[in-house]
Amino acid sequence: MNRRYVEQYLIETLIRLSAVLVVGVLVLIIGMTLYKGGQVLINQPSVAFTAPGPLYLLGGSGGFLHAILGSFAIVLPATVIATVLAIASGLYLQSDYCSERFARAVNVLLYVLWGTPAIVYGVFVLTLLIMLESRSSLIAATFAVSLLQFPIIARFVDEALKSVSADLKETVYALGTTRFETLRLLLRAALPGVVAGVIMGFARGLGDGAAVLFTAGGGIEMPSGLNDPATTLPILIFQQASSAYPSVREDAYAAAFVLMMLVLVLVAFSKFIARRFSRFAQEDH
Amino acid sequence: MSDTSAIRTENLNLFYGRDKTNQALKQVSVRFPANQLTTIIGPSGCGKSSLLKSLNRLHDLKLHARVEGEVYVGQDPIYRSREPVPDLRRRIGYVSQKPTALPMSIYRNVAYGPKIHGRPSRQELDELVERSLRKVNLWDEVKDRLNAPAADLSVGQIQRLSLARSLAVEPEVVLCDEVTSALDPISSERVEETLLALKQDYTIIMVTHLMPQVQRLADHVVFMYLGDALEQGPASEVLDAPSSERARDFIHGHGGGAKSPSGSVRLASSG
Ligand SMILES: Nc1ncnc2c1ncn2[C@@H]1O[C@H](COP(=O)(O)OP(=O)(O)OP(=O)(O)O)[C@@H](O)[C@H]1O
Ligand SMILES: [Mg+2]
Repeated sequence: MNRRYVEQYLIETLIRLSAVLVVGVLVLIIGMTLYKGGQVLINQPSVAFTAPGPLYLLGGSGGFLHAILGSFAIVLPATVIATVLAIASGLYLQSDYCSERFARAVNVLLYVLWGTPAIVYGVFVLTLLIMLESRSSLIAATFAVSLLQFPIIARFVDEALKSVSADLKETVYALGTTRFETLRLLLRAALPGVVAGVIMGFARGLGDGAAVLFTAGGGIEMPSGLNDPATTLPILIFQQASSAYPSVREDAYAAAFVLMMLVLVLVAFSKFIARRFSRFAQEDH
Repeated sequence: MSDTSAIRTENLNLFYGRDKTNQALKQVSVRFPANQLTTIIGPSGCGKSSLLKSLNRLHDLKLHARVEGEVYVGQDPIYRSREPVPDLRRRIGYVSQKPTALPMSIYRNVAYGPKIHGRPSRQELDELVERSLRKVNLWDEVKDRLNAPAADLSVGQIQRLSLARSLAVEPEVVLCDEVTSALDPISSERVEETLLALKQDYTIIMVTHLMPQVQRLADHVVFMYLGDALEQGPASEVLDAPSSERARDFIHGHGGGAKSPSGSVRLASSG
């Protein structure tokens, strides 16, 4: 047989194998979580809707509503903060206010930040807390999570704005717009990418435990105020999974189920939004 | 009034690139008479678009473009004028060579400029949009889907939309860069009629590759070659008796081949 076809055959086989491997592992993880977590939730749906009793992690009564609420109370505001900052910096970097060289340097830094392990952000905020003689709290965790999200969203915003064609910019300016009006329009053209970035950031923040580990406090009380401790789902799952009580360990699957569903809903929602907005984007002819 | 919208350039130089090695316009001194239609012709890459953009300061947007020399609109040296640049650009409309849709509906594409520059009532806006779209022969095609995304239109439709959008802000000067390049003969003719009609009140400068179009429309012709404005003058003079050999070759073409680039495209695709 021709050497080129053998080559092609080998490569194709390799690609198929690796696809099977990757998808297999994914299906295993997701399937197991959904199956086991689903079982717990069907038998006892209340775990997701009740506050934990004082001895919840020791096999006591109650559920993990505190972590679900904590996740939202920390990650939602964090995402809003990170998004506002990311859009501001993205617009600045792509605008005519800033030199290309500076923008490139900042972008390299953003990549570095993106790749920085979340625990580093956690420790950074913890250090600040110690310096300020403050303690772990919901607001400290919000700060840490938004630090984690910022580089992700900022990179997305920057890429989205960059992909807006120079022709569009010229066309808008030629109508007699100011720089601000032009920026607004460019942002609108870039919206699908921006939305994708926000969702990426949100999902990352929701799923991350390390940034919150030292900063949120991680008790099992319901979140009660900005300066009080809180917990998020990933932390809870870690606590549950390392518990000595089998019933608590089982609950970890239920918590993972909830987390997974939240992310899934988010992704679906983002696809929907992105499709709505990209309706107006011009494809390249 | 007639001279307020005459445009002239004096020793205009344009450099692209970080180290200004790439000179796209070389000491260009040309005059575009008011209320006339001037066509800029010349081979691809000779600086036609570059010249057009320098007339409403679009090069200001580019980090690596530098303009030297003067451009006068009427008596006003626009690169030294105290008039805000956005106001200048509103007065001097520009339709880019690449048809571009704003990321919004067809209606709002046309209404965008007027809304930025004033507070027209809904009814005024409706009328303005219809009038502008009629001028470019697009109204009948889109009147039933004004709220559809403009990006869904065909290239030729977007080209007409771009022109309508520029006309809607009611500029004094219209700069158009190959605005009929993607159009069929009928739409083309309609756009040409619009330009001829606009000539009453406006100064029009258009870039085109189609020599028959130049013959039909031009009052005044500028011939560019490698960044130089080699010839300029009333259409009859430049077209009938070009003084340089380059212009003669270009205008009369070698056996008519250079006359219509679309002709050569057709040949290539059928061959
Ligand atoms: N943004 C830019 N950066 C660098 N060089 C450029 C840029 N735009 C144009 N040029 C160069 O300037 C010269 C003139 O370009 P221009 O677009 O004005 O040509 P043109 O006459 O309009 O050509 P065409 O008929 O193909 O549209 C070309 O050599 C081109 O490579
Ligand atoms: Mg051009």
